[in-house]
Amino acid sequence: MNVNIFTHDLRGIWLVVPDTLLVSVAILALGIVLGMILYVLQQRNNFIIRSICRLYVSYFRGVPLLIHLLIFYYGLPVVLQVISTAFNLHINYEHLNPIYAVLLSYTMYSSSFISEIIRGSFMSVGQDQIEAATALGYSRAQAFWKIKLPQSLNESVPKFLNYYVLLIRQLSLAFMVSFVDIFAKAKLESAINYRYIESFCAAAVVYWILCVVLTFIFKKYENYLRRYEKVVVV
Amino acid sequence: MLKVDSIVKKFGSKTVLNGINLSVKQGEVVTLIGPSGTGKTTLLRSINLLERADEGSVSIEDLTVTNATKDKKKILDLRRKTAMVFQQYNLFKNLKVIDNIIQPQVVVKGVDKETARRRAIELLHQVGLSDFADYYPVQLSGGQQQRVSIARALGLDPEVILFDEPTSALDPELSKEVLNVIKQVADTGISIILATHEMQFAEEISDQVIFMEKGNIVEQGSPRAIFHNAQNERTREFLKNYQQYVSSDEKKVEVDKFEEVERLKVI
Repeated sequence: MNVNIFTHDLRGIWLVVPDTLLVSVAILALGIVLGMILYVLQQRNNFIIRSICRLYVSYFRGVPLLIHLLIFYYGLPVVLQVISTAFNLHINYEHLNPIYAVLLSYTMYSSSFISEIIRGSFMSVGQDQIEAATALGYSRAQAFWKIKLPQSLNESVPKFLNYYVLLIRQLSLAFMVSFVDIFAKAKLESAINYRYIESFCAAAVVYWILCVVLTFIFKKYENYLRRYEKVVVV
Repeated sequence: MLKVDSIVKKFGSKTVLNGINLSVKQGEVVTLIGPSGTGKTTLLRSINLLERADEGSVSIEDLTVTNATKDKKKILDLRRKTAMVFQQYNLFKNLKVIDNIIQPQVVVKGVDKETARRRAIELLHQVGLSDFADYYPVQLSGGQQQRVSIARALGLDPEVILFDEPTSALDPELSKEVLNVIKQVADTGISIILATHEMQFAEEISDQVIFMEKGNIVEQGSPRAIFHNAQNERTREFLKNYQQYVSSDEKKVEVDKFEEVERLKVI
């Protein structure tokens, strides 16, 4: 183990940390939007819509993320080619930035989990809370916006943040489609001088620090959100 | 002022309310007593329209909602003339005590926030919890939570407050502080319908006592008539335990006095 190479790799890897964090944020945000849509559709009383949603969720949960990623990576240009020729759009589908495949596959994969988080957090709001609001004369909409949503957000936001930390680590798969995140950068660094152990140790340190710091901050925030659940002896 | 007209409520094949009639005058305190599972809670929830009756109607002043009423506005309007105090308090757990009293005023009555805050402070003072404004419900005892929930109901200036066994989850000491607040509320001239197992309290506070069993009103009348001169056999049977308890209480006082005298003799 050469300390100089290690610190050199460490510096190189730090450079891609902002990108990794940013792409993870984008995936989380898109995943929440899609997950919300999925949740709303699943609440519908339409058998066909619900069946389609169930199929979607079972497919994205049942197949490894890596397979999704590769299918989107190789499939996206083909689909774009068809669309491009059909509508005469001149899309440059041959030199597609891999980020699109990453965003699409990760977002769709995440949305199937996030819709479950959303469902769970709505269910966690006690019937007694809604009943109290109704009995006091809140309309359905008022009970939702004033009571149900705030309480379920306090429940779901910590889970979203938890998922974010998971995403950062899961993004390491994206090197398969030549997207450069922390892991891919470590692989590139090691390819220059064949010093694998140094660069992967550096990657490990970066991941570890990121996770510890983020988890610490998120935990603090979660405690703040759930402050009303703690029993404090008066 | 409030009129319940032949309400029938069924859960599946079980008839929980079997044609209940009830009328409450302005400022009157009506107490519902009777065995558990007899429909007292369902009656209160039907008045509040949390449960929609299968037959019959509820009117408050000139507003009437029947089992056929579909107009959401009308239902909401009637509901807003009532307020409910639950057995398990049901405070909004994510809001501080003071916000539990402010928010309903703002949402339901459209009061501006400052006015609502001033009112909330007054109400907290009235129920003796001025020091707890910034606590969360979970930090309070059951009795304190129930007093907050009464303050929350009062903030809406309802025509009638429905109390659903407000002290059933509380020990005698905590019950007492809640009952004192209810008595205070009754003295302000608000109409009250109270389902309770606190017979002594019912006797003290009520203008009208209703004994219910199996979805029917068995007997109703003044507290004196029900507790000391019940006409119905079943009413007498139900109240026997309470009366025994009261009389044994009196005996106990005599025994205590006797012991006191004996002790003094020894000294």
